[in-house]
Amino acid sequence: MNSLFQSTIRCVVAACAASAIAQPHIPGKVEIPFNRYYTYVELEGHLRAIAAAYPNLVTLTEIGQSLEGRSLWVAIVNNPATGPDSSKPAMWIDGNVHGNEIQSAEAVLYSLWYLTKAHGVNPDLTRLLDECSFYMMVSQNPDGREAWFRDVQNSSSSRSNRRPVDNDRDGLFDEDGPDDLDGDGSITQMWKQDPSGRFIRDRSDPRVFIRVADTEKGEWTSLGSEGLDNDGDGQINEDGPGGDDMNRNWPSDWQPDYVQGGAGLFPLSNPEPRAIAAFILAHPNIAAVQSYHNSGGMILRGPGAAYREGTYPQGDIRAYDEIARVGEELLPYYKSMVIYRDLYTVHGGFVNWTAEGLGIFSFTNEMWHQGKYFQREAPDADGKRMWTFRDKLEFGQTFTPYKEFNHPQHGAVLIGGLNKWSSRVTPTFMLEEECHRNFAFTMFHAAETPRLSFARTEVARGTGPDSWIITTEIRNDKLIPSRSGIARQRGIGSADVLTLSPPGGVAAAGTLSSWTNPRMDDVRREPARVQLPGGIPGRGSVIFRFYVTGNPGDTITLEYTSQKARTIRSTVQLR
Amino acid sequence: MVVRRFILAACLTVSAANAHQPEARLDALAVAHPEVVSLFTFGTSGDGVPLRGARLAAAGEGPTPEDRPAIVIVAGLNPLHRVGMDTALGLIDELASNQHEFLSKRCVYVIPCANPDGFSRVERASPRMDWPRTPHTGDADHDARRGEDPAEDLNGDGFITMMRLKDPSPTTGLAAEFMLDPADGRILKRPDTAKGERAQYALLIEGVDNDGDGKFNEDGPGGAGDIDPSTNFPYRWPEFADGAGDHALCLPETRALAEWFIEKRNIAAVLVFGPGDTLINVPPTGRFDASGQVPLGIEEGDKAAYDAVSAAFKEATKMNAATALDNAGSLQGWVYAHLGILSFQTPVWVRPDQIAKADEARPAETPPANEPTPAETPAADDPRARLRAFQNATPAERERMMAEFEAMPAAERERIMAAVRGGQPGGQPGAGAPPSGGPPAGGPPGGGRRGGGRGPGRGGSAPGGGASAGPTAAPATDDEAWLKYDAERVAAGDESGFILWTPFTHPQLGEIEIGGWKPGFKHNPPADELPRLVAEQTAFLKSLSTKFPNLTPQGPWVERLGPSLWRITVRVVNEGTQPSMPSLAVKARRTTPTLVTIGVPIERIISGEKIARHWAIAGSGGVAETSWVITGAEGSTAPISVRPSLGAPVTLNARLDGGAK
Repeated sequence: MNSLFQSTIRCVVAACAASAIAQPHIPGKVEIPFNRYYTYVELEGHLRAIAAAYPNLVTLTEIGQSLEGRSLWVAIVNNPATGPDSSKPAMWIDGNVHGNEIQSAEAVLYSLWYLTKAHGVNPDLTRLLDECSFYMMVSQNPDGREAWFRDVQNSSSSRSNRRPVDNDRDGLFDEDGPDDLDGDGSITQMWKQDPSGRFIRDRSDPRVFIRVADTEKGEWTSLGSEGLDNDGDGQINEDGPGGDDMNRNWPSDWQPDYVQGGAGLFPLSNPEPRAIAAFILAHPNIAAVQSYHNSGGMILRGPGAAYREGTYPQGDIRAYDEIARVGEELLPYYKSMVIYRDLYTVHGGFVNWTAEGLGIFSFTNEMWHQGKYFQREAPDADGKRMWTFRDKLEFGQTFTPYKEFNHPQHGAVLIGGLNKWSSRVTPTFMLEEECHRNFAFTMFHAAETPRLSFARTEVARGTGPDSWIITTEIRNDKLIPSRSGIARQRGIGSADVLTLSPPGGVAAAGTLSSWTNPRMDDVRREPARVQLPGGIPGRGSVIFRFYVTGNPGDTITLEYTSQKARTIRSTVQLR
Repeated sequence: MVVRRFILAACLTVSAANAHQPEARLDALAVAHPEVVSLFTFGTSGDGVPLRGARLAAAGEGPTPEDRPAIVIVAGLNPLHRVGMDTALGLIDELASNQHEFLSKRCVYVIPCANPDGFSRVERASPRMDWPRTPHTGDADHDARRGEDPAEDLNGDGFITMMRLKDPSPTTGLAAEFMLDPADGRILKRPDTAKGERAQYALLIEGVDNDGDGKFNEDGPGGAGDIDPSTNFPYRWPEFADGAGDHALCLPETRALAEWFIEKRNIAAVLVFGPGDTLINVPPTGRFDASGQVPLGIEEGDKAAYDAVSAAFKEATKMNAATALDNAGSLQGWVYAHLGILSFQTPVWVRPDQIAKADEARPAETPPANEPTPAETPAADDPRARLRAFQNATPAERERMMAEFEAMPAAERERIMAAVRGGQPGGQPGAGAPPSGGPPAGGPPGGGRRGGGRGPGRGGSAPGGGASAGPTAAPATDDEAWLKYDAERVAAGDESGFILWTPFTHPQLGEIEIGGWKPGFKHNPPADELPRLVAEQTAFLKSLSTKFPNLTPQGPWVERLGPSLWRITVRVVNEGTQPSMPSLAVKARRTTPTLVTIGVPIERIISGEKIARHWAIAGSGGVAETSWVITGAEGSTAPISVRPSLGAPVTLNARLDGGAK
């Protein structure tokens, strides 16, 4: 009782504050610092805490297990007071399909944390959560994440899953990975002094190795990543742990490994994508998808391959572009991009499946842009100025000083360089801001899922004694159409349906091009159940006309259903 | 209608008891030949039936069975293809009983019934339907109702066949797309408008429009939402096409099969028994998918191997025509293009006119798919010719013909009657006799594929067959050839495979006719053909297995280069015909190549890779040579392991004693 009283007081105080301050602190029942990163076990703890604190809003569901047996959690976020999650347009938000791209999981955790604590406090987010449901998965690849934290890594390693793969085709699996020879917890670089080398060390900053001109004499040779020839075959680090790139393991435009490296054995061959696909296929109400990655500051949409360009109809592209444009405003340094055109070709990517295979409006945000260090014009990231920020802003925490090491194969070498926390991961002191801005973008994306309403309904007398003409306009206030152009073109899911049940039946029905043009496009079949393969367009409407038979005073119910929108009903009286 | 749907659903439901006949035969074969046959289980079907196969290998001087080059035979993925399952089971019996010498060097895996649930459905279904797909209650017509409009056996003859409607009125919502084939009124064909031909008939699967949307049988068991196991593999998976399913390998049967193939390391060739052919119709070279890398047919470098196998197949079976198929989503397409293993499909059995006569010159070119080879003119006393002549005759001519008929000897009259009524349900005598005022006999659609249109790029001919007209005497279309064959079977005393068109009053369409091919007729021969088919496939397998790569290590040769410095050379020679790996496997880099490894520490290797990888080693004596310069004490030994890409590993010892071996 006491705690309820306290939380009520907190809500009231927060509500009062909201009117006075731009963005007040919204107190939550769970406090999570977002100036640090969490292992998967720690993330699971936060998920459980949030689910326990907001049992009415959050259902934590284990949808399967990873290859190494970790639970795959989806937080179903929904306000049951406004209907079951499946009755509302939903947004899927996930992160961390690449194990090393860690801040993407914190972005999802932040979204869950903020959305739940804001419910009942912030009017915008309360309305959003009353109208939409969310499926949030902090990590698609908990094994890869855990390995990134647990094992010695660099900023790019542990991207894949942990399925052993014979990278060097010697019949052995994962027998020669990198080794942390200097014991700094990261895989850095090895350099050897070499009169024939092509590099020299910068005189003003010996941490920097510079390639010399072809005519000049060098002093150092790069030996690549830190490691040993573990299997004695004369190669170093040629067959490390894992694995499949689980963002190439999805069914749409999946291609085998010789076309798409890391594709896996076949589409959905790994337990994680398989469990996620089953969940998404069972939730056709998902109308929006965000799948977080790092890095580079990108708001990416499909297609992943040039030859799939024609998959996206113009109407869909307009909605994508408008949502991404707002994203560019909310996310400084982020750019709206098309995967194949502006990044690289991807076959069998996750958002390519959700967008092209399922017709869901899907984005991938590549979190973190180094421009954020500077907060001014984007700098040359390779320039010396980066060292200013590494040294002065991060106090050298992303660099391991070079140390001499007696390497069994190479003799005396230098080992050191940028560690796994450099370059791709958002610096912890900027993490909360980056999570918040991305969260805000996904809330905008979710808020643009279809919202339908009866905008105008009129009843007029028909030509016969008991005949009536009902005309109704159904409007969608949001950018995303109630059925995407891709879904319509490819025959994905079901058409929208407008039904009418007058006691005397429906003699004819159709759509009008405008209120002023009475000639109708006749549906011919099932006039009491009009199917709309194209749904209601984004920020648009469709006008329907029905010729019905009935007595004055009869009440008729109109019902409009769509897989991606809440069902709406309206009643009219014949008079 | 609800009652009908219930009955249909009940009929399509698998009866658990006694449903898995091939399974029982598999058990019996294992018991009968314990020294050769061992059974394995590789998964569980959607209905919970174990997915099983037999491994055949005899004791012999060769390596253990799992190291021997193996052939895999998969049958029954298409459950209508009973002949494939029966031949596969027959092969197990034949190989285990009589072919021990062959099995002492090779291993054969036979999966005789890859889709036991489908088999049960097809065998037990009443009414029976020409439908190879796995039921999947989806929303095939995207109308927000699921499985609401299945097909029905309206005339109660035990088969779901076809309905044809002449001159459909606008109220039916149907359009006439077909006309009667002038050659035979049982067949419908698409008109050639350039020749002034006109469409008169609408053609539909038998059933009613349960949901009143103007479409017939478009969403239900037998509807477009069902999944075709034969197109459910990841190779060029036909996303969005009818029957493709939610994703490649979405069926437990196809996924289990794929995982089994991925596990195996000793497969040299795969033979799928199914309705299509890739052995007579060798897949094309030089064509690739949108990525530019995955072949639509085969790699140029594999053409010689495919041609050689095709020749061996024709030699063993005398087959010279068969229906080609688009490999998209197919098992054999996937096994080749993704796993890099030579793989083929054969219908096992084809019509007699598609088999080369003993004295007939082999055609220089493989005939295009669906185009029948020239056949003989129907004999003058062919009952079917008489019937056709009668159907095309004027009333006056018919009267004359009837008089001639009446004047025939009783036995001859009986022969003609038996021939023309063969397809009638319930054995109603005379129902299909020279007509007495009934409607003209008409024609069914072509092959086994039916119902809603196929997606772009999919196999299956248009109703009425897609063949171009041959010589006047020969059947012009595939369906005509089938009718000719059917007449021959009827003359030999078999039941007709064609159900003659009979009038029916449809509750929604009014007066229609129902008829067409019996389910499975075009796939499956009479049972007495089976011994011949088993013998042919046995001969083919033996021939195929002689072409496998045979990787034999030679050496080592040791040369003294100086004090404690030696050159060692080893060869791997391919004594077989085919290259050690298909070109596709080399491209795919998925399989481990032939590895030649020297077992001395890396510090002692002055020259050469510790592990040499040899990808393709050419057939017929191709050589892969590996050479090292190492240090070592006089009289010591350097072990060398040779692990062929196919076959058992071998260890050689190079003795550093200065003399060439």
